[in-house]
Amino acid sequence: MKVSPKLHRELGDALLADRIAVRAHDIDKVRYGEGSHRDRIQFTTLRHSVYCVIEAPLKSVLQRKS
Amino acid sequence: MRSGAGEVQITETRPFPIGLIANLLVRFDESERSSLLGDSAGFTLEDIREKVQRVNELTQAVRGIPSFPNMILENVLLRQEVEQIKQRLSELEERIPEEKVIVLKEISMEEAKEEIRQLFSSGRTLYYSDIAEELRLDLKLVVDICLELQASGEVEIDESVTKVTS
Repeated sequence: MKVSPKLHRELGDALLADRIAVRAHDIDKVRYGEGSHRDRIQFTTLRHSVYCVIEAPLKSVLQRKS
Repeated sequence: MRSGAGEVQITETRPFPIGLIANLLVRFDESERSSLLGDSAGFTLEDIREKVQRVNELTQAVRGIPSFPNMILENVLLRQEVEQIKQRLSELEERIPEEKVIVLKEISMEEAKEEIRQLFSSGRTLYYSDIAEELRLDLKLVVDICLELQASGEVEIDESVTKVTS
């Protein structure tokens, strides 16, 4: 069964999650927001062929039922 | 008869370090040369003052050179500083997340799906990124396959993990 993920390509489309897996050709150096270093809030930019996906923990259904 | 015990024979001569100063003193100009040939063979008061000033300048310059014990002390301090910098550098390097090179496998979607099934059969809870890293597969391919496996009911979201983390 072919399932296509929802792809968002428009300017301003955003992902909000606890965990996002990313793939890109270039990843900029991580930067810290001024005054927010204690909270470890970091910024970066992904460039060229960027692919980001919200990920969740997956488990085999059979394994879970047993 | 003379015994040679008290006699000292000079077999070698060493250049006297004052030679530089002597050179300064003997470096006179034409006016001095002509005065030497004339009535007076000595230096004028002005010349002597000038020479004295030159000697003083030279003495000051020699005093500015650090002594050998001072150089050793400076060397020790610099070595300590280098060690501190090395230690600090290694601490900073430990904080930088490690970069890991993963050579992606080029396999068909069916082969990749079978490998992902086998990975899930171990009973582990896995994220897309875990699967992509372990099986060395492209992230997008892993996501597509996992969505298919979810749709077919083979895998599902592990709620026990999401409840703990949320």
